[in-house]
Amino acid sequence: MRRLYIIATILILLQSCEEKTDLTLDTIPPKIVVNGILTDELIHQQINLTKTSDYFSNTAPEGLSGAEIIVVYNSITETFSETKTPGVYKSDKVFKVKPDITYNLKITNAVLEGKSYNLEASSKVKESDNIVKISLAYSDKKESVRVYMHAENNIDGNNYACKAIKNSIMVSDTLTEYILFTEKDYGNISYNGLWVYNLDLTKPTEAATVSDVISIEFLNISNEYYEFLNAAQQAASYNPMMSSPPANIYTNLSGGAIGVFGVCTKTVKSAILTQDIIDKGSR
Amino acid sequence: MKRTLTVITVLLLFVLNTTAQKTYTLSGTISDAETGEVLIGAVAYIASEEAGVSTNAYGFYSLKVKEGIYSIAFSYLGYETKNIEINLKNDKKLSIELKPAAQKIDEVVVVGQKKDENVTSIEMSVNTLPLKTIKSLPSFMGEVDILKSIQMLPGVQNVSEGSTGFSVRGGDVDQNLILLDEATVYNAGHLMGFFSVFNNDVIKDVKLYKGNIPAYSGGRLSSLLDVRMKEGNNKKYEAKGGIGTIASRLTIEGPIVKDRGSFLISGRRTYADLFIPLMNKDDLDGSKLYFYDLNTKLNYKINDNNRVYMSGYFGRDVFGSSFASMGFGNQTYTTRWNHIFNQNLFANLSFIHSVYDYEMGFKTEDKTMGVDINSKIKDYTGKLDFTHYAMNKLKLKYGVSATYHRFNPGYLENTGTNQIFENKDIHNQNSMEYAVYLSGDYEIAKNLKATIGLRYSVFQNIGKGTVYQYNDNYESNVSVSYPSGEVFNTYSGAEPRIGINYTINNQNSVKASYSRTMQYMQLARNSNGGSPLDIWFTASPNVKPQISDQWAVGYFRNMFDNKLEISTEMFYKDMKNTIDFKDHAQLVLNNKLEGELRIGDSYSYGFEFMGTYTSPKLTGWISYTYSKARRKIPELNNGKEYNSPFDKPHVLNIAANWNITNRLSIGLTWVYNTGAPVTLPNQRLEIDNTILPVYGSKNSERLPDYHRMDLSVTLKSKPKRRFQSEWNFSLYNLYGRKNAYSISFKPSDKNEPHTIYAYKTYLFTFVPSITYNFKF
Repeated sequence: MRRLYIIATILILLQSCEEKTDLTLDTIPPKIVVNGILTDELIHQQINLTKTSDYFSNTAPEGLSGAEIIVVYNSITETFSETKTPGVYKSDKVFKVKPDITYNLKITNAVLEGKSYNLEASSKVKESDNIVKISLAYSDKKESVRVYMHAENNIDGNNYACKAIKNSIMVSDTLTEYILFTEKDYGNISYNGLWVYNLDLTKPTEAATVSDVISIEFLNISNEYYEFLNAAQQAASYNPMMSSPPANIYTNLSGGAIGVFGVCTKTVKSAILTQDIIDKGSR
Repeated sequence: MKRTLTVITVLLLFVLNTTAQKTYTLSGTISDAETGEVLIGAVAYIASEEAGVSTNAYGFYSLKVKEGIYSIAFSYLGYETKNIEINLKNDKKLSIELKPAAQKIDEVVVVGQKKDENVTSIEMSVNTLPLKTIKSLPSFMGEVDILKSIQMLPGVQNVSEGSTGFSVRGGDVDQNLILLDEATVYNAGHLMGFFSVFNNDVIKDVKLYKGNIPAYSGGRLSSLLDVRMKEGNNKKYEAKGGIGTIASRLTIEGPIVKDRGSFLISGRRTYADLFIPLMNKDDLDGSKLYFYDLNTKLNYKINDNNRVYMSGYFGRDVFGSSFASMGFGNQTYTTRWNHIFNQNLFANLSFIHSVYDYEMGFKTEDKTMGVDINSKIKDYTGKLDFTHYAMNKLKLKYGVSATYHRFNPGYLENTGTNQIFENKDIHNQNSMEYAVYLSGDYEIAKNLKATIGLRYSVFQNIGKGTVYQYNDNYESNVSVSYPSGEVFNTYSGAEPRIGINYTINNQNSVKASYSRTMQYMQLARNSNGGSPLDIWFTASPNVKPQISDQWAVGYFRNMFDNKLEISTEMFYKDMKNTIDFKDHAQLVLNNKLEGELRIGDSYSYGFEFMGTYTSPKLTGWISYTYSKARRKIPELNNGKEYNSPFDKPHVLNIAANWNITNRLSIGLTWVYNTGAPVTLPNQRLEIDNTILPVYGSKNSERLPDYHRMDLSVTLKSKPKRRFQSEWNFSLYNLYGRKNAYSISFKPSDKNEPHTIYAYKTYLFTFVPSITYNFKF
């Protein structure tokens, strides 16, 4: 529907224009930002702590050092320690996330502008659908390659974030390029044959030819992570002419911080782009 | 006891006095001599008795005077006054036809019907815009628009540049009741709101009530915009139309039976889609983009006491491309029967049907995936209104109305060959809205008049329906369903409306008013600009009706033989159960929409000034409004009060029309307002190579101030020709100011990964247009 609006807007507002402008914005106190996504890979899991900065500061986020972080699940406590990079904390031991278990984050002694914060959050992910394969189709106008998901069972209420990989190179390298879908939006979606990604052949990073291996990384994500990503995408692609009024991004952190603590499981499926697919023009 | 006896004696003397001197009633209609159109607000006045009355919405008047010989003046601005001498010995019916003033240059009107209406009328917070005034303003893309014209009035502001949406005294856009021949128009905008549904060629009268809405009307908090269609010429056949930059119009009207009945049919269509192939963009191949309006009306005078009207409006916007489509539109049907019971009692019985619907959908090229989404509103109304001329000093209006609302908020249907999406039907909302009212215009003393009215409204939710029960976190897993026809929730309330006019002298008066209004339905509107896909929903067990109490005082002065009219008003409006939405609210296809609402209070106050000047050569007005509009909703903005989206403290409008000759005129407007409140980011965070905003307070920042000047030149053909025509040249935004429509932010390229810039979007600079209008 957004594209319809765009067409209408193009035709009606032939003279609408955009130009850079200078703004002076009010200053408000900074906040702690938590970015902690735990996965089902057996690794040293990572949690990042940073600080917000003035909107036009135009610098990399500054890490927040000195905090104490633990994650508790099933009476097990995993301790995180700060690495050499300020604000980057890794678990002392390797561990991986399992479905249907609640993971509890506790951060203490996070000090910002002389004030100490204690932060908490929880997250749980459901069992993933059994994703069997992906299939590819060329669009009629040969502008894109569509990727379809095929899953056997349908678990109510799952949320997915999809990232595309072409020949082992991540295509979706920013948060705004993740494709999100959830059953909450349009009732029960069948995941067998769902169009989940569109590789734009006009973009150099996404242009695919015969024999290219297209992979989709399906992140089966917790409700909290989904809410955060959904809100973050809306905020990052905010268009005042079409979007809802701006609002702060969802957070599941209590204690005055923003950001997200979430858990997810990962499935990667691949398919090869063949000449037959290209010739067929559509699936 | 002695005092009581005195009072009774005085009363008896009064009764005897009134019965001893016979009083007769003079009544009839006042209409246009050239077209037969009845004139709303025309005046019958007997100077020797200082007695007068104005016609109602159907051109009817009734005047009581004692037996005798009188000279009666019938007048209406822009028309030649007709003086008739009459020897009144019994009740008499006298219908009058007034000729439009011969010298067109003398008939240009800014506002009002009577020369001293501004001072003598009890009404305040009311503006009437004659069509001649509207047509004299510069146009936008060749289309002069009623809704944009009323945005030039004090206390009224647009919601965004180019939009027909408007806010009255800090109220939301859904708090304006827009009626076309008494039928509710739920979405008065075309083409994303840049044009209104009202075709000027068929509009007879436009009246905007910003406060003290008459007791006969209700259902919205902030304003009543009462638009009446012409009836059609009952004397001769006539055609008129226009060819504009993006649309053309044609209206045909004429008698069915001369002097007894007439018809009118009018159409308008845009042709922007005809230019799509010229854009040479494959993406747009097969695209549709147009809107149309069709207005129809029939009326027939059965006899002196009975007249029937039927009118209809049918309009639609159509957008479409190879992969998606969208359409929305209004339909209204009005059937009215005017009946004069006797010379003192006029009645109107109306049956009204309104429909608003939208549909949109998409389908992939291979047709494997697709959905259609539909939504529809239907209203069925019956109303009976009486105008009772009890005495010259007392005019009563009373009546009843009942409306059945049927809202279907949305239905999603899977149209793809793959059953990927499940069909989804959002629960229908059925309700009844009843009202009974009584109001009286009473002349308490020579200089003191009052209108006292009371409206009592009742709202009922009716099954078949489903109500969700919410906990303190607005979560719901429990719902109750009600069978068809069951009344499962009722709200009601009294809505007093009081207005007082103290006329100091012919040039000065002070007025005051108080009114309470209740609103039982609202718009789920989450986007800044609003869209035709916004969803209307009714009050329910979870959503209480909105209530507004408004107080206003004003000083009114006419000068220079009524050429200069000045009105100043101050108002305060207190609104309860104001609705806003939680952050990231999901409004479309959501059965639990009520869980997305956040409810609180709001208020607005302000000062309004308007000065209008009318002379043969120059007409125009200046309006200035200072106002504030604030909201306090506990769960939003950390519980702190915040600016309403319509809080623009300073608004200044200037309009002028200079008649250089009888054939050549120049129109000029200038508008200025404080920038609209917006929420802008104050801090940032960065996650996964993406810069994200952190906001401080809601609506605490502002867009840059807005100002713009428009110019028009109109050249008319020589008068007294059968075929009349005019060319109108307009230039919108004369000095090309790049007014900010919105502010957005974009990251720089990958060479500056942490850099973000602000961008200003502006819509229109130098929009010229040419319109050719004709009439024969």
